[in-house]
Amino acid sequence: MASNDPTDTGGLFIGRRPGTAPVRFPDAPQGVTESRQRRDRIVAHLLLAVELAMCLTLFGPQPAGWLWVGSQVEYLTGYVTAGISVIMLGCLASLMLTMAAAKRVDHAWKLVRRAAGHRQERGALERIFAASVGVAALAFTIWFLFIQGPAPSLAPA
Amino acid sequence: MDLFSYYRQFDDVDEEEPNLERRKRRHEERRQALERVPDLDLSGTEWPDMPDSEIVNAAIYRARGRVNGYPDRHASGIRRLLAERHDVEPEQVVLGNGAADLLQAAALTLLGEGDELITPWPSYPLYPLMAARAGARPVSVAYEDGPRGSTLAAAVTDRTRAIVICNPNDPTGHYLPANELGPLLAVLPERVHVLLDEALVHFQEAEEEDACLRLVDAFPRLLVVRTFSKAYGLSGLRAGYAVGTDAGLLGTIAPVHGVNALTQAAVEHALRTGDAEIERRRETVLSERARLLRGLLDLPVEVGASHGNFLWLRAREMDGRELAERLRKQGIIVAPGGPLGADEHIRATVRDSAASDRMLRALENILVGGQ
Repeated sequence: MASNDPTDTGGLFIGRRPGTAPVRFPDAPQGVTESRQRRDRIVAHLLLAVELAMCLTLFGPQPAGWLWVGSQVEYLTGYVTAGISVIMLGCLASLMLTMAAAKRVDHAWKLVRRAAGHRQERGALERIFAASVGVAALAFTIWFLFIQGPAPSLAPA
Repeated sequence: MDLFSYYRQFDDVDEEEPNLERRKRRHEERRQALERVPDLDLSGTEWPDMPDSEIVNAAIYRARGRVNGYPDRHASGIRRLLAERHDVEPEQVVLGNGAADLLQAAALTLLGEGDELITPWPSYPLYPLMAARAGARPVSVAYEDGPRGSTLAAAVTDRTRAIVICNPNDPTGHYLPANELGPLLAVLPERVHVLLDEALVHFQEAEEEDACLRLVDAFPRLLVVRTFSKAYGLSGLRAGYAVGTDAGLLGTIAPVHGVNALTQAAVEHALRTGDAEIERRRETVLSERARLLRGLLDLPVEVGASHGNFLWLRAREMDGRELAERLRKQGIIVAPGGPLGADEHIRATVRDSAASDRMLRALENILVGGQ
């Protein structure tokens, strides 16, 4: 059967699946010490936390902030459409900017992880983003069902 | 080292980066290879293209069969096909290991010590050699102004036993038509045979292809030899055939155990399926030959009409060896005329239009541009 897998060579040649190349540095890193590596491990954790925080802002603080800005626009202009437009465009713009910034932080995290002595081949942004979605969904569910939703009205007086 | 520089040294290089230098070098090599134009070999008269794959397959198929047994030494199937094609009896046809072998066998049969073999000259260099092998003496007749039956007849002596005529003549391209050959055959003494080498007959346009061959019925001392090496492009398989009416001569020139089975398979397939391709090759040669001749009119060369798949030409102020050498520097290999019998000439094979263009351009560079 025909195959379009570039590494499926029928055993004739030694191949490597695309994207699995080992990490190559331009030169051997200089100035690496044990204490610096210990410190870099802590910095890497901090950067990861920053990344997580940035992603979480996408599901609460940022939409809330733009809702406030949109309400102000509606109040000042007297048009609901203007307010809704500002909210939607603002959310979209801040999402892009946040992801661009998070990407840079993720790259920095990768370098710091390597500096700490890990063989870090890929960044963590995708996984962090997925985790932040999970956290946000869970938080929303709790808020919706138990804080602001039907739960208070069902609770005994 | 500042803080950012420290961390930047852990940045990975692009996966492609280590290959960039190698890619660049390969690109340069490829560019140079494309710029290099391979030499164009116009020195041989055999067909330059590979044979049709089906013809080769026929030979391979036979090779995978019973090659432990002897082949059909009479090549009955091929002789029947050839007989139908030339409108003769199968008994009048002999298949051999190339036209040269058949001619040599005929020379050994017909010639003895001190006999003479007349051959027009310049002509195919094999003829004097085959006379020498038979212990005979080759007698050359000048063939500069074209073939004349009367000229050849005048050269016949008491010692003459055979005349060999390359028709069309390699390398001059002259053609002796049937109406010249017939009278020659009529005046020759009983002891003189004519060996007519029609290896290049497919490329003549003077008359019908079998015009001379039809004379075998009227003149038993005429032996016509043809080959599968030239227009058929099967030189490596060594196959040719002779047509005549002298049963004794035909019997002695036939190979003892016939032609090998692989060659027989390929030749039979070529005869059954190759006519259209042979016609295409003939048309290509005829049109390119005419185009080359027209192109050469503007250059300081002397070239005669040719009935072969080549031109026999000379530059007015340069001998053949020098012209061949200069063409070699232009990337074109031709046969210098010296070994073929005329130092001042060269023989250049006619091929496709690209080859003709290159040849004309090279000659113009040499003879007009002074390169």
